[in-house]
Amino acid sequence: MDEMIGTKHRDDDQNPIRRLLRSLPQVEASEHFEARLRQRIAGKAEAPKRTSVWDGLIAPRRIPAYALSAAALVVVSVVAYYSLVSTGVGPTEETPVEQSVQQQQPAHPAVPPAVSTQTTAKKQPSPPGKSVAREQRAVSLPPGSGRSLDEPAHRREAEDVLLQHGLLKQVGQGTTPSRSFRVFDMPESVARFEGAGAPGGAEFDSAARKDSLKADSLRLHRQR
Amino acid sequence: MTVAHDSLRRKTDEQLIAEFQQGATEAFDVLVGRYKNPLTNFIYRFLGDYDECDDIVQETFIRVFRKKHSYRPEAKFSTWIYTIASNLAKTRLRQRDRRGLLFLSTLWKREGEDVEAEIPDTRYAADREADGSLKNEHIQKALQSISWKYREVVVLRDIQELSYEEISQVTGLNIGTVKSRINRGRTMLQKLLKDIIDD
Repeated sequence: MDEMIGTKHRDDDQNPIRRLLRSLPQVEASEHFEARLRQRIAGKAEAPKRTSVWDGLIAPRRIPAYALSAAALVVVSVVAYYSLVSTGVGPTEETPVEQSVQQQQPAHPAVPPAVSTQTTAKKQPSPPGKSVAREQRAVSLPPGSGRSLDEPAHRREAEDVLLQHGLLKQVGQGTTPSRSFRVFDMPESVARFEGAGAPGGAEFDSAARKDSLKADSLRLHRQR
Repeated sequence: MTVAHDSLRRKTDEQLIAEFQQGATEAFDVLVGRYKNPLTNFIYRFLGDYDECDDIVQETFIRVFRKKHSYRPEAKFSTWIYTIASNLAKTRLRQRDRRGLLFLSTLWKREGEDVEAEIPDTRYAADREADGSLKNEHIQKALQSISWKYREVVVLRDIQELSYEEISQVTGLNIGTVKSRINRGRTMLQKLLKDIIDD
């Protein structure tokens, strides 16, 4: 075994590259190497660690950068969402409401016979310029108050405004248990469907009512 | 003072580091005196830049000074200090690679402008002082042109004359890999230095 190792070492020594590399001059350390080393060691020992109160708070060393950026992204998206919700600016709400307001308020409101069904209509494209009055809804109210407790305040205000402007007509009495309204913006075709009790009318009626109330509340808000 | 230093000089590396661990800074000075030139030679042949080499050898001793308690007597001190120096040199090479990429990106940006070419470090004149200065320069250039994976083991074996076992401990590679890398590195150098060898 020793013989083998000896042979191997001799092979190594005979290697021309090894001989060439061994012939290279020894490179020595620079002058004043030790003095500079002592200075550096003393400097590192004396140099105070730069620590700030914010170091741990803003960027703790154990949290990697991608985790911090992910957390920042989550915070930003939550803040953005709540700010949008609090201002009431929804990306899909405002434009359709205004469009429906324009559609629902023709220049010359017609006075056709009222249809007394509560919630039956089907969404149909209305012929331009033709509208009929529509009994929109009957809200159950507590006797004496004229108002329902679960009725939203803004809706009531909107109704009042519509009443003042003649866009809404109160059918029943304020003291009676129910108030019925007529909105003079009902397309004729829809009224026809209401009268016929078409299927799916409840959905349309509810949607239209929502749109109308939203439009009213927007108008009220602008007036204020 | 001198008597104490003389007695320290007779001690082995392992005894010196043990004394340094117990607070004898003179032992550290002796270790610095013993290893500053071998480490400088190794790092210079590995990196090819004398300023960087000087900085890394200093940093190596600073690490030894600050982390003296992390040395375990089971290992040889020479292997430990070579490992520190080698790791620092490899880190520097990686930084250099990154800087190289940045340099390329600046070249890309400054397309059409005059950009100064990187000038090789020629301040260290030890090779020039020697008789075969051109030959030595040629060998150094050939060393720099092969991959650092092969250069490291070739320098440790053929210039620093470490054993395969020691190289294995320094690099963290098994002995088979060390041997194959040495052989491959030598073959590469043989091709590059064909003219010198034939002479």
